[in-house]
Amino acid sequence: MGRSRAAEPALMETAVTFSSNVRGRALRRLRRLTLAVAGGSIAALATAAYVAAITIPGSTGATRSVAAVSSTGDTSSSSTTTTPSATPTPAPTASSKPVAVSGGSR
Amino acid sequence: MTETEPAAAEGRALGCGTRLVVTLPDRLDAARGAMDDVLRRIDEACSRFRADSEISALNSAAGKVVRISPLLAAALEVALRAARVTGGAVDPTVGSALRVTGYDRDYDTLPAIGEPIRLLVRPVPGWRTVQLDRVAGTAWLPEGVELDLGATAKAFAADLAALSAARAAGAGVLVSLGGDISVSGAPPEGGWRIQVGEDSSAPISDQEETVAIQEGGLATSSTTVRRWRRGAVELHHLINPETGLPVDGPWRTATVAAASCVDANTATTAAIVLGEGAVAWLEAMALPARLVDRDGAVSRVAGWPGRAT
Repeated sequence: MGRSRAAEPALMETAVTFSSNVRGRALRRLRRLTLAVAGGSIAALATAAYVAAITIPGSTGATRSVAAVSSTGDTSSSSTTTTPSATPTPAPTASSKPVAVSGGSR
Repeated sequence: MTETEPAAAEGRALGCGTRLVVTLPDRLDAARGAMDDVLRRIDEACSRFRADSEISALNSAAGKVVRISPLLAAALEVALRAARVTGGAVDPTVGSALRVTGYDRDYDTLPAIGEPIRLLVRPVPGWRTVQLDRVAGTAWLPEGVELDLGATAKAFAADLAALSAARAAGAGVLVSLGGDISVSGAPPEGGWRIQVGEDSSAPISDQEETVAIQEGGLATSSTTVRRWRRGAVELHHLINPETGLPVDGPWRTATVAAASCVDANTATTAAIVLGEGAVAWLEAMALPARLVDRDGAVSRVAGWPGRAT
């Protein structure tokens, strides 16, 4: 079924190949999809989101940054992701509580 | 940016708890209306547990070409892309495997304990067996193949809902669907502060590990929450496509930040399935991740920040 495991070359080659053509293919797909969906706000939204989501994880340097926040809101120890083309985000400075919890689905 | 406190609303949809946060409190209703509309449509298209959903119709029509809506086509394409970029670790053809393990209805109504069941080690059919023609608006499954888009559809819904709600509200929006989070619009000062744990229903606390994101998504997959027992066997909902059985690996929980909630959830599911290979894969993808092993030890990978004190 063509599955491979993480460190195997096959997966890496797949990712590299995909990333090198991602933008052109996304735009071609967008044009086709625009014609195909032709209306319907959610469908149009899905199209937009799909094109946005086609940035393959990590392969374009578009990885999101995360910063640590202390229990007192102090962010002096925050850090950010530093992939080759990612732009570090400013460290948080507010002292409010978290607004959401990410965990296993309940 | 805004100096007012964000407003929040909670509810349930897609078989999980939802949380909506809006930077401008007076826009909460507008955001909620937009979010609810997206979630309703995703449920109608993608829920394996609704007899009247599109995905149920597609599953029951295996062997035939089926016309599908643009929304299901988009969700299916997202699922197939997740399979492609993870080398098949995240595979939408796990539907029958999940059903055989007992996960055959909405988790809210799934008995926690039941009679023993017979489980077979058998690879899932594989995502390459699925044929999707987005221009024609059709899909085809071989007979015997059942799709479950759970690994990606909820995250896709979060991305769509956040985008739609932010547009409707003209404000920054965070949407959490069972702990899979997408943000859109201008973030609050300091970014969206998200508590990271193993259970999305845990109370919000300023004593737990917290990170901040400015955009994109953050998701967590865990084998510790959605569990049920059949006979003497504990089961969970994350299937290893190579065995068709719940993953039995070194990681019990994975959290990832990515460019979208779909990407984040794809990576968390892949990390659980890949097991020992997860760290190398996450680093190769440059995806910041927090992994929790069977004993509760935390590993931070690819730039995930250390816990602040």
